[in-house]
Amino acid sequence: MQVRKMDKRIVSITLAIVLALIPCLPALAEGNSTVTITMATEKDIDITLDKAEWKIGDVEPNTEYVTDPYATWCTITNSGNCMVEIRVKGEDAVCVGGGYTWTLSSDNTTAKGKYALLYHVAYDSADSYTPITTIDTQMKKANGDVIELVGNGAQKQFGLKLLTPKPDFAVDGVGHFFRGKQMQTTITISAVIA
Amino acid sequence: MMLPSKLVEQINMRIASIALAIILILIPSLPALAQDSETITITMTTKTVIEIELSPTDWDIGTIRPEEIHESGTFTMTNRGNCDLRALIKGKEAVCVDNPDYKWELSSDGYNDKQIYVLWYETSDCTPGGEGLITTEENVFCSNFGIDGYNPKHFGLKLKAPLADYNGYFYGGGEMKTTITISGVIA
Repeated sequence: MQVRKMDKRIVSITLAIVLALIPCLPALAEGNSTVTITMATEKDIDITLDKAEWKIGDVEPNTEYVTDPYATWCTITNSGNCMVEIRVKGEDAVCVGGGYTWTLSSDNTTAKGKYALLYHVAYDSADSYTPITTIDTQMKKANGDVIELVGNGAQKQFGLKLLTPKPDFAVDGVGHFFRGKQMQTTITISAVIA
Repeated sequence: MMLPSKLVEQINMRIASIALAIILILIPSLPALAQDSETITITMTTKTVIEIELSPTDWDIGTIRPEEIHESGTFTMTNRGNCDLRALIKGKEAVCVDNPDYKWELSSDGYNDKQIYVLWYETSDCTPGGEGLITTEENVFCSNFGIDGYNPKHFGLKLKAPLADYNGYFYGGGEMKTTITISGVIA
């Protein structure tokens, strides 16, 4: 009976020693230990445009209007801290008073009530214009190279071209839009991490 | 009233599950927020063209005697502009070409008198149609003058001469001239 009690005590003491040693085992396994610290700096995606509007003035049907200068009219500057890819999209032009719309062409063709917007990247092939559509799309050069701004302060310039719709009607061969209206549209230039 | 602790525990777990679900739903949207946008506003103006073509542009009545009524042939007016219009009409006094001091005033009430003459228009395809008095004030005589360059509107004119100045005659005996003006305003 006493022997059994002693056996139990020995087992208990042994178990207690093993448990007490467990936390020390890694320290015993090697002489050096390391602490790895990881952290992330915040990404700042920020671009600025030096033009916020393009006032064309009076427009005639089926006519081409180009910014002046044609290639370096607007400068995009990377004001953030990471490499970004530039994207562009347009929208339909609407009459300021409402009730009359020109839909934005999905290519560079125009029709009655359909206008086209195009951009030209500075120092790209002359007369290489790329259509702006209602779909948010990567801004590219004529050869397909994506426009990227590598870091803070990086810049790219571009110009715009607008083709007005074909006339709403014609009298004696002279085309007209329906009455005089102020038309307005917006181009959105955005940056995403490249 | 206190809730049983088991029930409170279940509610807490449900709230935690819902919060987790919301966070999981939001996670896919986070990359889309990682962008910056700037806009360029383009404004342009289409021109307003108001142009009315009238044919013929003169009406030669010939010799006229006191109180006579004369009716013209048909005049045609065509909207050559790019706006839906309301056409306005107005007249003015008639003046003797050789003696500008001799005039016939234009009636404002449809009655003639000595040296007061009357002018009317009549349309068939305008709104409002029918006959109307022409005065020195502008009045709408065709409110549906739309952009339909090849669908012109038509009207006629009627003139009633003044009463005689004396013994059934007018003074002088010369050519009297007046002008009717048709103009358009955007409807």
